[in-house]
Amino acid sequence: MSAPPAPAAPHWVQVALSVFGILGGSTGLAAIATVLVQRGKFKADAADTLTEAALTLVQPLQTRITELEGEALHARSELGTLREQVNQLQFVVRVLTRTLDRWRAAIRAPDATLRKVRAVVAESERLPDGG
Amino acid sequence: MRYLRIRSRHQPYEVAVLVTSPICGVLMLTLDVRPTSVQTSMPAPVQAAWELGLILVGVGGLLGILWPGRLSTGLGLELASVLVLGTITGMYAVALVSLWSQQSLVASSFVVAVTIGSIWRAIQIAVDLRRLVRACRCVTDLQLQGSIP
Repeated sequence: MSAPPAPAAPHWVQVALSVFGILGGSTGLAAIATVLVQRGKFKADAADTLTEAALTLVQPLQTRITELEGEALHARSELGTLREQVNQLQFVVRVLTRTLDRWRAAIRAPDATLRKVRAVVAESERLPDGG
Repeated sequence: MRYLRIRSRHQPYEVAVLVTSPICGVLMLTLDVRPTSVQTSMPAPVQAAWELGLILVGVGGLLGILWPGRLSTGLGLELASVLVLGTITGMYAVALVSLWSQQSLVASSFVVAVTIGSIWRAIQIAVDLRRLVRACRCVTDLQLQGSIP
């Protein structure tokens, strides 16, 4: 059944509807074209394997990895500093042990006199690092 | 950082409208019936395009929702269909309102609701597509970083 001729709508409505329709249709075409053209952005292998569930996982994991990498770097640099401190301390301990040995030898020497001991002590004070 | 979330694509109202519109379009074409408001307020070629559009929108939208391949292509098809669906129902709403009678109040309201819903859904899909682009960039960066050492 074709409807009986109704009172025609004003001309501007027809024009407006035509323009509206053309605009909407071309917007739709533009949308699908944009997605097709920008396919490169949805990297093929990545997007193929990404399900909706996987997408919810990727971002938190990424954040976590960045965090952990930062922490690892920090820990590594701290380890370096500590190792250097240990080296320095070992060196100091070695020097002190040697000084102590020298003083003990001077004190225990059979011909030890106060003057000789004082001389040894004064010498090691003059060469604090000489080992 | 926020969680990345792609909305479910099985939205009951949207699917119902997308299923209905091609049925409606095919019936109008085969039975050669058109609403009076459409007949009086659209030129003949626009009427034909309007009917064809109803069919295309339904088929394209359902195809997009059920697309087996890449998620982005499916979303793109759905986005285009939903945009055109908004246009088509908007045109119908304008046609109904231009022949304003109090009997068409309910019909116009529902048609306008479909228009608003379509535009809303189109915006949602656009946001999802942007998130998808970002997620793909993250993943490729990860893969690149993983493959270098």
